Amino acid sequence: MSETFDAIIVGGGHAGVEASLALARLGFNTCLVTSDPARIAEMSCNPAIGGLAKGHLVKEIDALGGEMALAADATAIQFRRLNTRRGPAVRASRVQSDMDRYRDRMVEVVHSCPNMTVVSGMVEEILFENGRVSGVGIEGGQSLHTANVILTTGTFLRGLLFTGLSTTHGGRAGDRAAEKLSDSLLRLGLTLGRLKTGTTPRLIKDSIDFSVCEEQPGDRIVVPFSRRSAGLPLPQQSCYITYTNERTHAAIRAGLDRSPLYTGNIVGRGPRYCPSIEDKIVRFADKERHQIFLEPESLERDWIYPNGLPTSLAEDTQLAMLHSIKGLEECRVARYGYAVEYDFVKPTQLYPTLECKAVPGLYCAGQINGTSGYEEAAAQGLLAGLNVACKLRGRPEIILRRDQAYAGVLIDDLTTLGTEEPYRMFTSRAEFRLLLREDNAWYRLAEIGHEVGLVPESEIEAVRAEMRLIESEIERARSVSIPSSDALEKLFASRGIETSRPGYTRENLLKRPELEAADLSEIDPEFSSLPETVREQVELELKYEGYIKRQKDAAARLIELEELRIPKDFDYRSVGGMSREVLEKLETLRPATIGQATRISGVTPAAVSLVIIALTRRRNRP
Amino acid sequence: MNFAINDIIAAISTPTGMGGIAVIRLSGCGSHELAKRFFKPLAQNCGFEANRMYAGWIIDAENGEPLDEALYVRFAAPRSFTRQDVVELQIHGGGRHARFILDRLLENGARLAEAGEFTMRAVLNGRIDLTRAEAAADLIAARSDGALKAARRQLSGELFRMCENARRQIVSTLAMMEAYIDFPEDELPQHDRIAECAALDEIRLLLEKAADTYRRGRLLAEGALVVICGAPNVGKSSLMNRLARRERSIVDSAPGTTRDVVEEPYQAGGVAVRLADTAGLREAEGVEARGVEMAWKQLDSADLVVWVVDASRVPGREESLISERLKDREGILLLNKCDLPAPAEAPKPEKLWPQAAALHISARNGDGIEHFEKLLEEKLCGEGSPAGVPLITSARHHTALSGAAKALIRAVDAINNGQEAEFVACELREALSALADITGATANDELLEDIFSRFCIGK
Repeated sequence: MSETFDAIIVGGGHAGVEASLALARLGFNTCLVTSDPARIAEMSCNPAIGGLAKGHLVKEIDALGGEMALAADATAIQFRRLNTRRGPAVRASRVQSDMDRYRDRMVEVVHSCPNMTVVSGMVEEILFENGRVSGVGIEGGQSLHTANVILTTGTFLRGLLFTGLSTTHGGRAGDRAAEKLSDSLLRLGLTLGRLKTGTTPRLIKDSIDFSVCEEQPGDRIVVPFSRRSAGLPLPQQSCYITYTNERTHAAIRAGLDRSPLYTGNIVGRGPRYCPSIEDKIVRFADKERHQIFLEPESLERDWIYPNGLPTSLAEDTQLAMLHSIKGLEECRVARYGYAVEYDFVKPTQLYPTLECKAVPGLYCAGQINGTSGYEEAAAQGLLAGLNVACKLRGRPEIILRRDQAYAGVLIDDLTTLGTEEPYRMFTSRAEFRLLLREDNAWYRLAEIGHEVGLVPESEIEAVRAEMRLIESEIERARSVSIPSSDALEKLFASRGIETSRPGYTRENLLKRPELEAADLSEIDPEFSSLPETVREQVELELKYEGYIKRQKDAAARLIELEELRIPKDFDYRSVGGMSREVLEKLETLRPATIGQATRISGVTPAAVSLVIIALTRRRNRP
Repeated sequence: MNFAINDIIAAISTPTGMGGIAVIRLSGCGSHELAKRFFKPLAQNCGFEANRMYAGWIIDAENGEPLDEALYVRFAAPRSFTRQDVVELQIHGGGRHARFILDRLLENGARLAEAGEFTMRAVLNGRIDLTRAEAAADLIAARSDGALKAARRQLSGELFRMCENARRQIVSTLAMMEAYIDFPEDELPQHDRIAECAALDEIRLLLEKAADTYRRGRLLAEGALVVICGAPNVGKSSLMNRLARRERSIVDSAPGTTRDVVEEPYQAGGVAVRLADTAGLREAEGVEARGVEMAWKQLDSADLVVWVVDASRVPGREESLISERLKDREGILLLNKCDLPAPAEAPKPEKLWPQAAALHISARNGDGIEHFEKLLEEKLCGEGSPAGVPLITSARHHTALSGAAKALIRAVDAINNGQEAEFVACELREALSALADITGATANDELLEDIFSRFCIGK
């Protein structure tokens, strides 16, 4: 085959799917190369989408025109809203997905997408000519040509799987690793690191005694991730909770001598927020028990995912550990847990567009950049895809700011600070957390999705109309008065509020911590006739106005600096007056904007001032 | 640390010390709106036209009280040094009022300018040509190194340790809140609201104490104004002469800049002092009234007031006037002329000025002068800082400490009002960001490290 593609995506995981769909849907001749076209968007770990900060990412992907939210809705078998008793910014949605249906749906969507060619194969080499990418070489000698390659290889780069003392090569259970691609990346001058992550054993459903576990049903009210979804079509399932105990911990301790974590076989660093069960037992020896969530993997397949038990202990240790746990005494194991260690590209080598600084035309997205999580991968895949599209069209690149999206925080953190462990998104990473809510993802990002072409006219018009209505209703709420009435008195009495004035505006009532939009709806028929999303936005924007304004002011100062772009060929040596250490950092990292430069650790305000002055001089030069 | 380029920056652009005039400069959108709150023009219907100088009074925005005469110039963007809105306030009467106004500006939305920042804005906005831009760059490079070294010298000691300790404790509280937010399904220890508030209050108190030392620290850095007052002919001038004589071999005396106030330089401990002799305080009319009015004003702006009373006479009308004026302040009460016989109804210090330290002296023969000088030193330099509390001498550090303390007050309020954790976290992050000028910024990763080392996270 000698066809030339606009872009080639290497890897069919959650990042690869979003990248390739975005490009193909925008009309580009797109090729997805994957080692197994039937396992596209496989959930290699837990069968869930969303959660704190991750649910936010899913909604952002939706607003930008990505696929993940739709797939999660179509295959959800349990919906939960987390943190409902906390403020609006940290409430988050999560679903348990039927992972078989999720994968099968994505396979169908990708294979039926126009402009998409799916190639089955193992990429071994990035072809490089005349100072830029020219294609990929596939195992067996075939070459595919393109000027833009997006690498989304997940854990497959020189992947090693560990269970006890046994080590096998593989990208994940049942799949071969990409053994040669790493060498090609090293030859291109990229620096690679090594990370580790782990997964739990999978259990056979009918060998578990759920009757002795706590049932954790989903929410009664379900809300789809996607604005485009009508609802969640599948029947809702329960999860179950059980706990480890002293016998479990003893069994684990007895098997530590054959744990690859402690024998030194694993060199890659694992995530601190998702330690293996053996790590938890060793580091928190005083803790009497650990929670285990028993989660269904699919409606038909009888596999259960015991969340909380990622492990690479030997098989017999895993079995002894499992059998000591209430409800799992008789359980049978469908697949043992294992750790996977893999190469990643140090992400500070990337521009915030996710293009490698040293290899024009080569983009990286997802776990290859050191992240973990389907949502983090998908967000990067989508943005890499969109940035390739922008480049192909000669349009300005898309760099989301930290006050604009979690996806922006994610990519900025990776490309500015790098990571030493698998990077997961947390809400605490977002300094403008109050602005980045699930409920306003579309208002934040849909214009960008529309401009690039993934959000159609009809949708953006609806969003714009909503935004206009919200704005005018916020202003109106300040003046619309709610007259005293029996209903109001009753409401106040029931919340212990003392009536102190003759009348109130909507704003007065919505600002009270004791009252919410639903209360106002009961006594204010006009308000209750507004669409629910509008009522919600009016309430949140007014109730938290002071805090939101503070963050917006801080963000405004950031935006000025993000708008000061630093040319890619900027010569830091010509600046003068900077210490060697700062100079080296700036030269290595090559920040895209002054804003990014300010966030590099060790770069002083004075150095940033000097760069700003030098940039201005350059601009003013005839 | 701050890199913004359009917000309001302010600084005293004349050298610190004993200059007769100080200039405060502001640049950025809204400079005029902010600065004019502290200025009352003499002219009615003053339009504050650009590039015109207006005479008027610096006022305390809270009560409208005039503090000092001043000149006000507004430069409208883009016709200014930085091509932004610029205000320059020339303040008559030295650095003290300038500092007071600068502090008010900083509390009300301005930010203390970094070294070379005005010039940088000028360069950025194309106001300065290339050669001068080079010079600006050199200036920033040189000054910031110097400032850094100076900061490091100061930070090697107690201040840094205290702030670093406060920072760690705030991080630890914040980590707990973030853990509740980000890991709602993990089994975390119970939330102890009361202990949390107590811990934050303790840190806040320490930060406030340190911020409060700025008054004394500033005296050390910038010098103190000691005003000697009293009724006519009680011996103020003799006292001045005696003190000045002792000093004359070290420093030259200089005439005062204000007609009715005579100033002498003097040293007390490490503090450079201006001793000001005022007109005799009494009820007066006409031209004399103006002089007396100036003397009263001088009292208000003094760092320390020394009141001289004639111990050989019965206190009269003047004494009760002064007593009324000084009753809420601290200071030194000198009962002069103790070499003369005291009358039957001798002045009683505890009645005249209960808050003061009282001392018998004779300016004529020198009795008690040495004692008085010791007392002066003690009052100005204090007995040192409270234990464990460092002395603050820089406005930047004062801003950082008081900013952090205020954010902690809001955090505790938010906890007590039952605000959700993410809003409390907001305040704690502001406290950390205020402290960052002293301790350096807190990296997100430190927060996560704290969470993961204390709590077993991860389902």
